[in-house]
Amino acid sequence: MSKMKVLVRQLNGCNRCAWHLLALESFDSISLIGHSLLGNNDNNERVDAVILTGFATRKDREMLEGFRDRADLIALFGTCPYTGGIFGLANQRGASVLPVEDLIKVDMNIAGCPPGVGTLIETLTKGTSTLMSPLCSTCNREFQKQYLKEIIHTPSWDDSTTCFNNQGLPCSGVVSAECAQRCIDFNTPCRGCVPNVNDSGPGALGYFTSLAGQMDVDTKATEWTTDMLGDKPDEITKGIPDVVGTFFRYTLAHDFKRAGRLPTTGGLCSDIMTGRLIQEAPQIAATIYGSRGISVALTLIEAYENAIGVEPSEKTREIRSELRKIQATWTKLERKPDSKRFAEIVKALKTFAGNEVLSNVYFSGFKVPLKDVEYTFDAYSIREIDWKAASGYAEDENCKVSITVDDRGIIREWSCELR
Amino acid sequence: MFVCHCGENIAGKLDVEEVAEFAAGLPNVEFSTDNLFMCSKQGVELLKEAVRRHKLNRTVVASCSVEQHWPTFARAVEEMGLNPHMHEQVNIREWVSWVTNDWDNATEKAKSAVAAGVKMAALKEPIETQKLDVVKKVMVIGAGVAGLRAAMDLAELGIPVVLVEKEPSIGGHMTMLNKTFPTDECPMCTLSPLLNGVANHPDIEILTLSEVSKVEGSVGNFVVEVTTKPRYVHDNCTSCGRCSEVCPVEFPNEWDMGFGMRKAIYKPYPQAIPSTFTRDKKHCIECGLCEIVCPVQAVDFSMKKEKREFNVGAIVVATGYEQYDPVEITAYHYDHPNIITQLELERMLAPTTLTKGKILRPSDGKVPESVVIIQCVGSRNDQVGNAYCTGVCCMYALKNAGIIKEHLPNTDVYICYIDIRAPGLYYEEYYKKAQEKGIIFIRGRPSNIEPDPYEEKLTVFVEDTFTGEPVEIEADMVILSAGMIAPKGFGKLGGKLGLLRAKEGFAKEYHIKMGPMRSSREGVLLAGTIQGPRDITKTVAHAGAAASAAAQILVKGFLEKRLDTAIVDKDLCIKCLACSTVCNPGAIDVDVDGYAFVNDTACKSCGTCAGACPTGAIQIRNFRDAQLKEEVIGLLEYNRLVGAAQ
Amino acid sequence: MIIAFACENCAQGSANTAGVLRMKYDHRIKIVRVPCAGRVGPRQIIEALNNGADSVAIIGCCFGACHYNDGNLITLRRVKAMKRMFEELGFDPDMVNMYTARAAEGDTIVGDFEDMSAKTDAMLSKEVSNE
Ligand SMILES: Cc1cc2nc3c(=O)[nH]c(=O)nc-3n(C[C@H](O)[C@H](O)[C@H](O)COP(=O)(O)OP(=O)(O)OC[C@H]3O[C@@H](n4cnc5c(N)ncnc54)[C@H](O)[C@@H]3O)c2cc1C
Ligand code: SF4
Ligand code: SF4
Ligand code: SF4
Repeated sequence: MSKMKVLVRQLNGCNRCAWHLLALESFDSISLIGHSLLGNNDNNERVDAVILTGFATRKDREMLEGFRDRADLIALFGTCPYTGGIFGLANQRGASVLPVEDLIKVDMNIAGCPPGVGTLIETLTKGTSTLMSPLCSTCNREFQKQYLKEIIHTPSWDDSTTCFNNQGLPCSGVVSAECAQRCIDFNTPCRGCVPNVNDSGPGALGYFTSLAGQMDVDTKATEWTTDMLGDKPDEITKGIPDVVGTFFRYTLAHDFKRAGRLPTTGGLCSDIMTGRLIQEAPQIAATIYGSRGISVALTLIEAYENAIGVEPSEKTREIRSELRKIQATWTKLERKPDSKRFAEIVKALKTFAGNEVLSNVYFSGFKVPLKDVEYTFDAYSIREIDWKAASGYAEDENCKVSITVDDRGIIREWSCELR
Repeated sequence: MFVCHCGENIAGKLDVEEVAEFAAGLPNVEFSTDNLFMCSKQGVELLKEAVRRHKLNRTVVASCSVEQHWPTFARAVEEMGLNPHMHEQVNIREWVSWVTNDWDNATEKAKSAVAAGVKMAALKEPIETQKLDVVKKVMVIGAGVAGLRAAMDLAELGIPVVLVEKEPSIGGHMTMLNKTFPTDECPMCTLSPLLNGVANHPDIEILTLSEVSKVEGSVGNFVVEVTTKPRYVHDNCTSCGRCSEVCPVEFPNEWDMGFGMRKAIYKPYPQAIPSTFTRDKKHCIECGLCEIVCPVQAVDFSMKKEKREFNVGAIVVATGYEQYDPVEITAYHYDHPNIITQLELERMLAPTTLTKGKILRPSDGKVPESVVIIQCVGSRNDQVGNAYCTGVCCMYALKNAGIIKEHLPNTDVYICYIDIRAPGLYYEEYYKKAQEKGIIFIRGRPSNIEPDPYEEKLTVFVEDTFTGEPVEIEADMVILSAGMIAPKGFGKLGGKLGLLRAKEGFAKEYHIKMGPMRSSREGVLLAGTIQGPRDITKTVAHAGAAASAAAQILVKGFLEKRLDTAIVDKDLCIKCLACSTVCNPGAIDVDVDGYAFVNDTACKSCGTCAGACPTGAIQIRNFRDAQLKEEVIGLLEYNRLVGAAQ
Repeated sequence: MIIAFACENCAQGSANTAGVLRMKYDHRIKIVRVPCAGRVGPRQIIEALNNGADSVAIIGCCFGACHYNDGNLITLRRVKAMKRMFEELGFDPDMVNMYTARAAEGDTIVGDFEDMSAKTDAMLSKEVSNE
């Protein structure tokens, strides 16, 4: 069988997926014609497949149409090209992040943030995507049929058996498929990077707010003698201060077709970070800052810890410095990207952070015991955190982060200067 | 596609022909026309003929509301061999022509409605009806005259009845009355045959001291759990009364409203049914004398609370009313011994009580020289939250005033009233007769009653609204015509039954004219005063209607249920059970594999589950996400196109 | 355009009554029949807006008087969160509203409609002035 001629193109956003696709080099069945991270050796020839990563904008239309004309098959790798991904959140502030499918016809989607290269290969060889099991069916937590009594922003740390949604913490597992990152294994609710249904955002929102069907909600009397829904803050608005970032974390650009009207803060990443819940911030930063994500997430954690006066334990700091070492290796590797060494980085990340989006890394400590460290979990586990309004600053060799959080736990101001 | 003129109703407000022409150009439309009156015989024939000639498989009529004529056209297409749900109704009268001022806007709005209707029609799915077996048995809750009548009527039709009463005996308020207007008959005499008939009927099971504790299922097949408090006396009691004789505890009898005494082991009144005695655990000092004297060893202190489940096809709620408690109106000093309610007076007048039927001033047993009756206590009174007129108080006030006058011709009897309401056959006549008895009528609602601090006397202050003069009446006794209110504990029972209640607290009827005996829930009927205050005549008629409505569901032996219910797509269902959490009638169970599974009988097709389902796995037939989406697109698309063209 | 999801009990009943009484309201109001306000969820609201509606109204029975018990109360929570969502996107929270009506009184739904169209106008004019 002749080799499949494949072109990998990174559009916009973080390039983590592109890093993963370096691995295509090592597959016998594939001949890699070009790859964004490896410089441009593309001579516009006809190819069997173009694999796209990153999100699209209207500006990319022409380029994408060009790919469509040249390739038999267009495959999307990662959630960004599929739904706009996490960068779709920038649409809140007027950006025009688009799913690739809004611009050209697409043949295959391999969603995930990031997904596994294995799934891509399997899909390419089979020609169709395999059905994925719903995330919930792979989750050990159990749902009890009952209405919510409260809405919370962090899970109960010592409960590993109750469904997050039952606890009152939104989990998008209900609209998602099994994925490569498995946040739920690290006491972290799913935010839906692998949508299992076409309208996962509205689906998850309708689901959770229905379970909140007995929480206090404001109503008011009208002049024409009826009652209507009121505008005052109530348990719903207080409980979910970031509806968009919670339920539409990876699908805003796909689910809601109007550009938001909030003013931009001046940068793509700060547009995404601003408005998010502080409890969710480390993971979001780890995701959107791509190959610098480790550094930014840790620095952000330290900035808020400084602000509220939390002292992480010695062991916690030790593990964090291990993570910074991984960051340093990766940064160095940027000069000469290499798939084997990147695989080592990913492996190390899984050891110290749970997964690639650092689900296990948190304020004050870690959420669940790490597999390959000797210390007892007590030495580096999460401590009591008093979430409050605060401003803080921290820096490391890669970035300077300053952050302001309001009394609802929402990030009001964010700046991150990369060096 | 058929666009109706409805005479001038539609055609006078918008361009019907233009709408029909527009429809003809829509995808899937094979035939489109307009017609003067679609609902007329000719209109329906036109539709049938078109279905035949053009081999149509779906029809859309743009005319009036779904409620009004969907059934007409659905029947027509059914006669042509199509499923009736293949017909889609678009309302361009109530929702367009009648409510839009401007010709062009109305025409445009009608077009978009038609565009949406055509899109929707293309997606409509046939709905089958299913025959469901019903349990031929009825539970009647409350054994007042209403409950008794309903139970009897049903049993006589051969439908077994379980009659649940929370008190130790059956009969309700009617047994407490001394006489009944408008004939002044003895109520026990009129009621006894019914009481005994019910008690002895082979098809009626009576559960006293019992209340409904759980309700599951739905019309045709309810499962009701009834909790029975222990009576501490077994059914072999011969009603000899020896236990009661030896019982050392004595205190006022509730049934006599305190105008009689009873023991801790007792029967509320001699003719009470069932005749078995009851031990009142609260007051009993556990001396055990009754146990010793009972010749048949019926007394048993070890009896326990019991729970039983009944499977019934329908439920009749006949839990009656309560008398308004006048304590709330402080100016009337109801706590004063000489101020009593009409129900208390009914007991005082009864020959079996302490006064032996004599009218005596409660505080000292003096024969009263002046009695004032005050109307509308707790009725027609916004301040206490009851704007309604009880409608019975005027009549019983006339009745009791007359009785006092007959007993004590020299006593002055006053009635202070707002209006005397005596509508209907024999009632106005009854009023006329009362007037002839020398009762003094004063039109005005008394502002307050002042008890004399030194004597037993009372002074009633009232403005006579005929003369405008303030009047002060000296009285030995004041009788308050307290209104009828919904029983206080009804909220809980109503909740279990899933009934809507009117803001006044009574059970809300399905339709005030066409279904006063139906409740908001299918299979649950209302009998008597639980639906609103009324007298015995109307109570009995209402109870009969409730019985026949209950029988209607059951006599055929099956129900026809439209299966436009919820349905689960197992490929999408992730077993999260959000649907089941929000489903109020509890229609969603789990199948053997853990998937959500809809019980068609219980499902009411509300669609709340569909909004809660994260994956869209559960849908309501003909109101699916995909169908609603197309309808919305249909409504908006047309305007978008027109907007773009302009 | 305003999409108004109306429940088949009080809301459609009230709209029919309003028609019979020949009351007038904004022609931009387009009624979509649903069995119960509980049928409406974020999917329907977002789809209407994605397909060009300016705003969405959901009209059900009086709170506490839903003919299916509490469908409208559950949707209340859904809609409240959606209002918050639109606010987070820089839109007017009035882009979606939830009302009640009484079947026997046409003026109740006409009141709802008038309120919704006034709010939509206010919203649209604000948008124009922002541009
Ligand atoms: C002072 C007075 C005088 C009246 N005089 C006349 C008159 O002369 N002529 C006339 O036509 N009407 C008269 N009426 C009206 C008459 O009393 C009522 O119309 C009639 O009694 C109503 O019967 P019912 O069966 O609806 O209610 P009820 O008699 O109240 O019966 C309800 C029954 O349900 C039982 N119950 C309540 N809750 C529960 C529960 N949760 N579970 C199980 N059982 C329960 C109660 O214990 C009771 O036995 C008079 C009313 C008053 C107040
Ligand atoms: S919703 Fe989340 S926590 Fe609940 S079962 Fe699904 S994946 Fe697990
Ligand atoms: S439609 Fe759904 S929520 Fe409503 S009764 Fe049926 S199963 Fe229950
Ligand atoms: S809500 Fe939907 S996914 Fe969840 S159990 Fe019900 S049908 Fe299945």
